[in-house]
Amino acid sequence: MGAVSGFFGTLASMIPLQFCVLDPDNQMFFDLSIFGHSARVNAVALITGLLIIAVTWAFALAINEIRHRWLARKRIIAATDSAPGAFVGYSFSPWIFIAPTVIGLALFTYYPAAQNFFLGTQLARRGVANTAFICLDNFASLITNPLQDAHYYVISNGFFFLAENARYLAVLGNSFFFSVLIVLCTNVLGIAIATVASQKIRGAVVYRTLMIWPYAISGVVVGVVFAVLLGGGGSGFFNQGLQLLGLPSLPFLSDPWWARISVVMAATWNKLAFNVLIYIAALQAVPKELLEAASIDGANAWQRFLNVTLPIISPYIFFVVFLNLNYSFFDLFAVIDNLTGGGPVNSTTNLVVDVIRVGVESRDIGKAAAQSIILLLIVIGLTYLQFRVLGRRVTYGVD
Amino acid sequence: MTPITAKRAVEKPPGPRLQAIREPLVVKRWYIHLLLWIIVLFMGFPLFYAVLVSTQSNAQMFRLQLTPGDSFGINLEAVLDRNIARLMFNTFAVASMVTFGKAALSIFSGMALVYFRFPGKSLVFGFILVALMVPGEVTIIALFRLVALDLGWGNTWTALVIPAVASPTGVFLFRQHFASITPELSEAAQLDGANPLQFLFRVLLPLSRNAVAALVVIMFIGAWNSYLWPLLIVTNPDLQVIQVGLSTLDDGLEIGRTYGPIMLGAVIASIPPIVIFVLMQKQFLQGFALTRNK
Repeated sequence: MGAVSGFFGTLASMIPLQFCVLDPDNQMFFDLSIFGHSARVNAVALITGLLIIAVTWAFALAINEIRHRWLARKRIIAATDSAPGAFVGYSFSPWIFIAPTVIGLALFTYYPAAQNFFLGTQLARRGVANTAFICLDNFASLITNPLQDAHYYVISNGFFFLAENARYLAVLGNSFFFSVLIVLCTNVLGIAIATVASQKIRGAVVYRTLMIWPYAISGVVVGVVFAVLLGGGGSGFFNQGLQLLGLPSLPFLSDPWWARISVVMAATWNKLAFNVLIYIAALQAVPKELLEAASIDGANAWQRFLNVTLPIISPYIFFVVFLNLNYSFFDLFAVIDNLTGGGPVNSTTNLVVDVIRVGVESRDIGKAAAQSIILLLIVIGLTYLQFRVLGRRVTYGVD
Repeated sequence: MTPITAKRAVEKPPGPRLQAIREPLVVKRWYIHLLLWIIVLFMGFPLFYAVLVSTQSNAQMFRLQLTPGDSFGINLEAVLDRNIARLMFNTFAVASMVTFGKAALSIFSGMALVYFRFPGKSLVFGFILVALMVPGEVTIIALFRLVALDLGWGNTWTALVIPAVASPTGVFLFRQHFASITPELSEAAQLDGANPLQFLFRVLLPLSRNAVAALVVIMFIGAWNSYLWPLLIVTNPDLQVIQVGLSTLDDGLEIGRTYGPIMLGAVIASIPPIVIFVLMQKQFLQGFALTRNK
């Protein structure tokens, strides 16, 4: 199975390339140094190899998944196809009911997604209808493009490996940095707050309302307000407070690392209300008998939380973690754009912000489409991971 | 013992014994209340600060004054000068249209997926499920090219409303909701001679009032808060929405910048979604019960 899909995957990705990899005019090189050893790498060949691996892998997964589904369907085919309560004698109306949605999705989701693959191989400028085929140069330029003034110590700067001229790797590093920290902060804080808020206490519903209303606040408002709290022309609220305590003020939005921390703080606050909401519901579903039994066995509060509560709410944790991962990879644009604008010197530019910078501000649609394809690959990876983790029962018992 | 006395015994209100058992469940420890209030302040703090600064001048803000200032009138004037009323109206109109369209299409599609049998149904459902996984940001560059260049909808509300109306999330949630309603209902309706539309409007919608309300809240807040798409596709300030207008309030030079109007704009832009969210909280939480089953 794997060999067959591997063969077809390679074939499928080679045909549209028109063997342009072999064209000597299309060679782009960059210097890669890993732990001090430096080498000259052909970017087009590297990208082609990576694409073939990715496509093959995706094909193998898809075939495996379809086979799995097909086997599962055969077993439950009677249950799904009987459709109890279906209207009899209406063969045309379901199509009328569902056509607007299907047409809308085909035109505004599927067509642009497919168009990305075409535009990714083109030299396309914003506002210009004509395009020209340039092979994989858009992808290759992601790793050969000069870094200019970007700070990129997340994955480079001699500490892990140094990819010279790799602006996109720095952007990728920023995205992963944000995701890890945001998921960690929102979930730890969310569970902690929900633990307090789910106590049976007078006025619990009122407290819950007072805690979760920030759910309705937009990313723009979060960005704008935190820009005043943290920045404020160098003396925002936080720095005023630090000065009042006799401490030196911090360069929240002007230092690359502090700017990243600021984005994490703002995004954490933006998502916290949602997590608290879910975790309150999750914690209230924990059966009291189990907690009582544990305390009779001599478990203290922390042990009860670790050994009883946490395993029971773990499906909720996975669910929330995946939603937060999606948020921190794809929905941070409004916060970043209004808090730091991607700066200072690109240190808070993540994948989506870079797509907009390249595609809209630099007017290079082709390169932005190439970046969108990488975003799509990340989506596929996240979705696959989500199905693998959430598809399995994480804990026996209450759900 | 006769059946009558047995019934009476059941109907008897819970006696003092039962109440004594229930009582200790409600915790009355003051430090939990204190902790909860600290959390409430922490959660709301950035917006509370925004409300505070929206009444202050720059000097008062930089003095770390924690009482309302005297510049609310000036700030309001500055915000109104930036045409915030127009922006709010635009956002309200666009968000309402998007919400209505999304809800209507989702209800019809959900109904088609649950109450009809047609060839390729699971294929259509798969088509919608795959679209559910793809965030809009992934396709936004190609979508921008399609809508602005090929369709020529740049700088129109059409571009804001039409691409947003087909909602895989809405279809999926309504499908799950309708599938959880007992099929005997539609069988009974068919026996009574109802056609699908009569069944939808007389039976299904009155039954699904909570689910519809919850999804409308989620959709409205989502549409109200959308930023990236209007930022790209609309450049005419008369057609712009509040989220983009808000970030242009911030565009002043660092030196001449006054923070009061910016914060006032942020507060005004947040009022409608917060009010709707708090008013419809009960239905909204049931909407979450729906999403959690994903």
